[in-house]
Amino acid sequence: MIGGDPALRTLARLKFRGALRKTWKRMRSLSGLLFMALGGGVVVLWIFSIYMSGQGDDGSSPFRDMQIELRPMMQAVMAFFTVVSLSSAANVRGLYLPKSEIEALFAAPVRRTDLVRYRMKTDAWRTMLGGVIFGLIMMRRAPVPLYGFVGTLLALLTLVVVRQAISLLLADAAGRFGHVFKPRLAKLVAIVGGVGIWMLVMTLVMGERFLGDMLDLHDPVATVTALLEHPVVRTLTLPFYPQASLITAESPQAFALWGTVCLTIYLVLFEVTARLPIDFREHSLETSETIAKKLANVKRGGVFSSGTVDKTVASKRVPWFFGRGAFGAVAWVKATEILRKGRRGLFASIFVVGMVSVVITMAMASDPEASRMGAPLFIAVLAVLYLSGGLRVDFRGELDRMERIKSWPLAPPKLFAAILVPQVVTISSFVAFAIVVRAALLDLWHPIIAAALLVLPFIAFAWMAVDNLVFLFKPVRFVPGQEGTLHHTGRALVLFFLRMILFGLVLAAIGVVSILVVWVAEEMLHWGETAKIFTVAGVAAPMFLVADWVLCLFGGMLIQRFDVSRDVG
Amino acid sequence: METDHLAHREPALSVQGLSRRFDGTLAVDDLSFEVFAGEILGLVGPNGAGKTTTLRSVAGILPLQQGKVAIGGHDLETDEVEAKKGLAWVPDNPEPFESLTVMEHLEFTAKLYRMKDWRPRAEALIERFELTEKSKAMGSELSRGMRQKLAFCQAWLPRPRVVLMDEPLSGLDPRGIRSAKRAIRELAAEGTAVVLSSHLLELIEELSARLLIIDRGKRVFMGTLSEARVHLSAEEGSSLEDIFLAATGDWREPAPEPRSEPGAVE
Repeated sequence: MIGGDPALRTLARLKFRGALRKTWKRMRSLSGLLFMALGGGVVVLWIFSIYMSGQGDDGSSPFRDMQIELRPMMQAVMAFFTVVSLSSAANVRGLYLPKSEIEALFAAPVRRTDLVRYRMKTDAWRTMLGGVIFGLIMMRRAPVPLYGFVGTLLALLTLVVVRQAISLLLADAAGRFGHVFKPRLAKLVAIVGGVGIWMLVMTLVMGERFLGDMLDLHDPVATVTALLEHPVVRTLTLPFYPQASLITAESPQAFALWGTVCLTIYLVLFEVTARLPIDFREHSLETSETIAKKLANVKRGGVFSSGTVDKTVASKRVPWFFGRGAFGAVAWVKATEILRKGRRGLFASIFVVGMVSVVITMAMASDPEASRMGAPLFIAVLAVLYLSGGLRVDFRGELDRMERIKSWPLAPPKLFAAILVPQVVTISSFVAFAIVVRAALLDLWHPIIAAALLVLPFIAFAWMAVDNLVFLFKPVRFVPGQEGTLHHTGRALVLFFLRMILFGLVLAAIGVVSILVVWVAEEMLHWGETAKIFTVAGVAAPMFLVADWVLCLFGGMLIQRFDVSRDVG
Repeated sequence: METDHLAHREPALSVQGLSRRFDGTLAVDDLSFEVFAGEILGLVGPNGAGKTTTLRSVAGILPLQQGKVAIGGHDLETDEVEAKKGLAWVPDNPEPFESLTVMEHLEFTAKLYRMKDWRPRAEALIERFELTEKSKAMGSELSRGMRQKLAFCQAWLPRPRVVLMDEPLSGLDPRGIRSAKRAIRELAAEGTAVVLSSHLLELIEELSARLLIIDRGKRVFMGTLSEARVHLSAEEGSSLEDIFLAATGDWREPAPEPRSEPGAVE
């Protein structure tokens, strides 16, 4: 029955105790305690901001004041969540168990029905955190906050069971009829469903401000009401009537009635799912392997590392862009990684840089001078910031190889540079291309563009070098959702500030010299604007080069002190 | 025949007509064998022969596509939980639960096999496999060799009828290897049937009474070492390595290494 196998209950209890023990261990050092406190503070602030987000200036709730009936709205939210669950269930076929547990549990003398129960129960605990956050959003919008909170939690728990049932059924269907739900279709459903959920949540959080001002609907209330009352929408969302009624219950009697109905639905679905006569082992092993690889890729960080290489791409030789020596060899390996593994990431980056250019151009359209001078600089800064995170092919991906890398016959500072140069060249090329194409299309040429392009690679290198220095100083590989979230959030915050301070120091040193140069050019030499711009660029570029060189020296030192037996993230 | 005396006994593990297919490729092809109480069966074969797939199928990790497996008389398909109660599985790369201590692993195992008063045996096993100092260490803190030793403790604890071991000595130091070999022998002496899959042919030769050689999923030979010599027309005193190479059809001598100037760099 719902209690499940006693051994699996013991396992869940021991794992919970183990998680607490790990947390306690992390808190025993001063830095651990600080990270935990910072992480906790961030999470509390986040939850508080979510809680307060639905409140108007006078303390009212914009959504509640919109006069849209909450129950059909909640039915729609539940329906969207279920659709998205369907797509994620297509990727997690069968029963997901972590790779480290799956063999031991499959070989153990426990019934498969109990394994399903165990999984659904552990999933339920994980859902609680998300449930609390979503419950807080709903609390302020429900007629009775407590009922809204409890109803939301129960609805989300039911969703966990529905998702598990779909995973099992899809695994069974795939076993019988091949892949019935294609991964691409699943992705499309996920994207459409995700956008739908985002819009619904934004409507719940911001109310008319979102629908009227941001989506520019002339009569948002009427539009949403008409949509929710459409017969097709009403029919499709009907199965979620009980959960929506519980959330929107206005009296204790209604809460008790719908609460009982929802709890019964949850328990029946739970047991039915556990008892589905499906042998999920084959698909579960496959899923577990796939997810373990994905988690490892996420830990390595960046889009590039998660790409797969098809045979056609692999058969094309990548030129040795950076020479034939040891430096060139290391850079060649990284360039190959970019060109072979990151094609999807490259296309996504072109799109993002294009979008950034369009948005900045539109935002500055009313001021011709800003559009000519300021826009290229803005595009450069934003694109470098985004791409250095999105197109990451740096030391994060090399953590598992550090032992070998340290043994390569190349001076550590050169090694540091060789690992980063291909990424810097790729990003700088993208940004330069976007700036030049924009200027050509709009005929907005200005000397500052040439100056920016001259300095761009050196600035990009400095930014990525600082980022990698901080990473090598304190290597952390963390996948969101894994244990130790608070600790890692706090640490990430500290490292972010450290990175900003280091980069700020580099910028400040170069800025002071540049100001001096401009002053001399203006006051003493009486040069024109173009001459001043190129003088500043001419001074800044070699200064950044020196800064990059110093950063490489520090990078080399950090590679040398990197302890492969300890610093594995 | 040396194995005649086994024919009248009930096998602890019986595998009949086991076949396993992955994406159209036959990984295990109509494999049948039996292992008796107190016996150590050595499972050998080249890379990709289907050894691990066989063991994972017998352990119930992979569903049976074709064939029958019975552990202690319990059919793995129709009486799965009872069959698995008599079975312990030691994978080639044991991955413990990250946040559980060594002792907690044994607590969980005891619960799985419904053991009462398990602690004295658990403590004895921890001592025997030299994990006493690590009994409070978490799974994530254990080295490769220690994880292997923990897997042994978990397998030994419930006194199973059958133990399946896939490359059990990898990651162990010489001292650990000696202790593991002794423990395997003692386990068999207590009446447990052991299936030992390994590339270390000396280990198989030293511990196993019988051999099962498989190649490309098919059974090539099963019997004692001396029967193998007769069966494969090998010379008296030939090693298991010679027999293995004969059975798997690879008698080729390795090609001589190319001569190059000392210190030459490409």
